[in-house]
Amino acid sequence: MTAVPVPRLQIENIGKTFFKTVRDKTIAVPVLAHVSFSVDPGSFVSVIGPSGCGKSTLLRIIDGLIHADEGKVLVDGRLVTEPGVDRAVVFQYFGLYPWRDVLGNVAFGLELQNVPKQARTARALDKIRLVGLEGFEHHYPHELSGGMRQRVGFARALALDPDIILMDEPFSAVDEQTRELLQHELLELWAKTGKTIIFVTHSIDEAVYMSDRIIVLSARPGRIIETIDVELPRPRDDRTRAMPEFGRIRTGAWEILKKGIRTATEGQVVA
Amino acid sequence: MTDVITSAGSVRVPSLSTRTKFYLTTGITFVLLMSVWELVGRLTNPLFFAPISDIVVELVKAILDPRERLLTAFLQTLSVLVPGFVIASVLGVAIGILMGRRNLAYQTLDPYVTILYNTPRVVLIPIFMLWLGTGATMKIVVVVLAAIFPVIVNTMLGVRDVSAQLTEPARSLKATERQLLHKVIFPATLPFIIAGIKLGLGRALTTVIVAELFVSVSGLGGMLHTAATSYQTAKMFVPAIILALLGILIDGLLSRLERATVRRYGA
Repeated sequence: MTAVPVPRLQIENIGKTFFKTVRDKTIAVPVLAHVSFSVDPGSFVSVIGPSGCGKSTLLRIIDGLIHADEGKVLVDGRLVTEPGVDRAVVFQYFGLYPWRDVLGNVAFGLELQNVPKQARTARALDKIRLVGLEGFEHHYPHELSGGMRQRVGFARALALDPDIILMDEPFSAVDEQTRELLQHELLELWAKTGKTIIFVTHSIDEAVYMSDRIIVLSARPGRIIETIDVELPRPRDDRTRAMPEFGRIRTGAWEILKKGIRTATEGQVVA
Repeated sequence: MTDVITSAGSVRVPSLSTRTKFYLTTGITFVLLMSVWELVGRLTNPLFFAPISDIVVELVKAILDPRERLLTAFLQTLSVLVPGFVIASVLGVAIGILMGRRNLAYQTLDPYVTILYNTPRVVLIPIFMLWLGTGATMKIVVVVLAAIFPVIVNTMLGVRDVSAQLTEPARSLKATERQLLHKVIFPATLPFIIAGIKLGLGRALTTVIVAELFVSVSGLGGMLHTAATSYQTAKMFVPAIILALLGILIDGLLSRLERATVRRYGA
């Protein structure tokens, strides 16, 4: 790698409006407006904001699942038009297939790319080991706890060896203790794999604990109101939360977020 | 809690396994029912009813005596039922998936599906007789029309019910439309499809017999017709029993398929 500083991910002036029909009237709901930022390779960036601010939509636009009305997304300088193997999503709802066992779920993406069975099994087993689910290869999702299911979701994302992992409130469906455990594990895996992570959350505490940088969105339509650099030492652990600096950043983030919550645009009737 | 303990203690039933209890209950009920049947049969004019022992004799005779042509009749019925049922299932699933996935297909076909689903199948028989004659083709067509609509409707509802939480991860992993259908939509819809096929089976069975009674005296329906018109009351029950057993057999096979697939859902 020479010194041409191409960001891993560039978000340029993204805007998105949804249309919904209420009693025969079409209502335009702008969810994102003029969102621009860039992310360096290997960094951990969180996106926080009040609910409905479009942070999950932003994540889907980066993945290519949803098309933006305005602006563009560039990965390593290339324009994103559809989902690609250089990006993978970890969903809040896990997104596992109930009729596939852990191995089948983790290997699913490889199967869709027509990777031969032996190769995909080997790679899937490797990722299953990485997330600590050895021995559960042939369990079905309903036999696993929430925390284990999300580990499967993470292993599936890793199996395609993407550069960027997009995480949509991945730990909000698990209990508090599991959540802290998963946060810790994710940081370890991140350090080990060197992936770039975009992490959507509504928890300020989580964002501060995990990230290099936090992007704070306003209420709908979401626009960036502040970018916070978190310069806490790594590796982070339980002691990190006890640092005065941690509290200071968290309080600061909360003050910024409060300003953004005030008024959400409710959308206007267009037809 | 205490109530349960006291009552169990006072009754002192030797504890039987659930399975044993089930067989015991069904066994006793069956013997009772058959006894009542036998008794009523013996006390009634044989023109209107037959004791179960006579029916069993007729059944055994029909099975053992080639002159009764039971096997021929059975195969005749199957030769209509099987192709009709298979075509209805395969075509029904295909149309159902198309209607579930494509709005144009849904909007175009839905009114006709609704109308035909609710049309009594019997009225179709004279119409198809006019067009296709009285042979096997006509009967197969009528069976297909009888069985296909529950398959179409169930499959369509199943496909429309597949949540974005199942399709979105596959799309994110770059599934093609074909892969999406094959690896996500189809397995997710399978419980609906099997339920639709089971409904279709009942309608197919009825329709075969009606067609055989109505059109040409053939198959098990024909046997029924012959027995009825010659006042052989006990013999009338033979095709009924054969059909009941056939229905149970196919339904049982479908249930096995259902368990093998649906169990994994952990529902």
